[in-house]
Amino acid sequence: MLDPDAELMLAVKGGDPRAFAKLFDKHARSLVNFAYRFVGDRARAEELAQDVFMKIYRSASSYQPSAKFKTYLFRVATNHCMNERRRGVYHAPHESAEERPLELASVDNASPEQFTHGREMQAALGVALEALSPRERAAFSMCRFEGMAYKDIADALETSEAAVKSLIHRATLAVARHLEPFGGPQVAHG
Amino acid sequence: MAEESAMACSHSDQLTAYVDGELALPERRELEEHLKSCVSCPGELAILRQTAEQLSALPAIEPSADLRRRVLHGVDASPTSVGRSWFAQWLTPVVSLAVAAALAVLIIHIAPRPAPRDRSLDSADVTLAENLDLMKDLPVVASADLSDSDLEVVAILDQLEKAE
Repeated sequence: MLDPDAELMLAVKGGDPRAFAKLFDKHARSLVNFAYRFVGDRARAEELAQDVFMKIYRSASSYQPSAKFKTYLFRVATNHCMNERRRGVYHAPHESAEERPLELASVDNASPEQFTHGREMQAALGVALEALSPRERAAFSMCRFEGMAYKDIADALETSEAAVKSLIHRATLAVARHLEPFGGPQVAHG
Repeated sequence: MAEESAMACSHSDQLTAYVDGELALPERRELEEHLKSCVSCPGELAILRQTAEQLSALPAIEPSADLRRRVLHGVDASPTSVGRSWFAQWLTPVVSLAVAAALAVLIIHIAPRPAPRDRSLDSADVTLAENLDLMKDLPVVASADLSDSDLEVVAILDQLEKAE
């Protein structure tokens, strides 16, 4: 049985532009955040997300629902973001909480302290991600922020589940060290 | 069961997958058994769990409204085959074949061909006819076995010459 997003993509293939708008609405936020973790710049992240959506649209006529649509989407996004990293220079750390407050979602019920705490953690995460390899970063983001299964991540990265397990483990430990100041157990260094 | 050192535990790389619910049942049971005796893995497991929780609570960036407008505008302006009906998609190969066939016919008709023969006789033809006619009168030639078709050619050439 096809997943609902694959059904929408087949509708796009059949000429229904409203189906593409639905796919955009469902995945735009994930994609912008995923790209942001590669480039650390919101405007550039949106441009990358736009590129990915247009790539998906332009190739709709040859789309075959052989995998979950989300897996397909993140395979395209991973390749695009990795290429962007290879082309561009992204030495600067992610936007700091002080310099450019992010437009954050899910903050309706957050106190100002929680909001600030979240922004600072986001900045610390950005620094941690800079130290990861592109594949670690991609696997980590898909797992931690998208909740994707290891099997689907392996499909997106075109690698084995064992490799994904290793990538995610290393990345999570590395990020944990950067998040120490925000509470939680002490991470053993070395 | 002997306790394992913090640096050398071979089960460490299973911990994140355990937190993520990605271990198969036999592996999970084995790890849970191991956790009862290992000095390092329970601490590392707590760190990984804490980190996963922190990250899941992290707020996300909200895409701008402009992004949606740009993407959907790009879709409208996209010069792609997407957006055609199934009939149009089916029609494409049919139309392509028809165009190819029409081109083939056109090429056959407009291709340079050898110019049609000029049916009028030039001076060389007339000279040849005269010579053949004279030769016919020679005894050697007259006695030769000329076929009917040879004689017919000579006769036609003769007529043509007279007509001119």
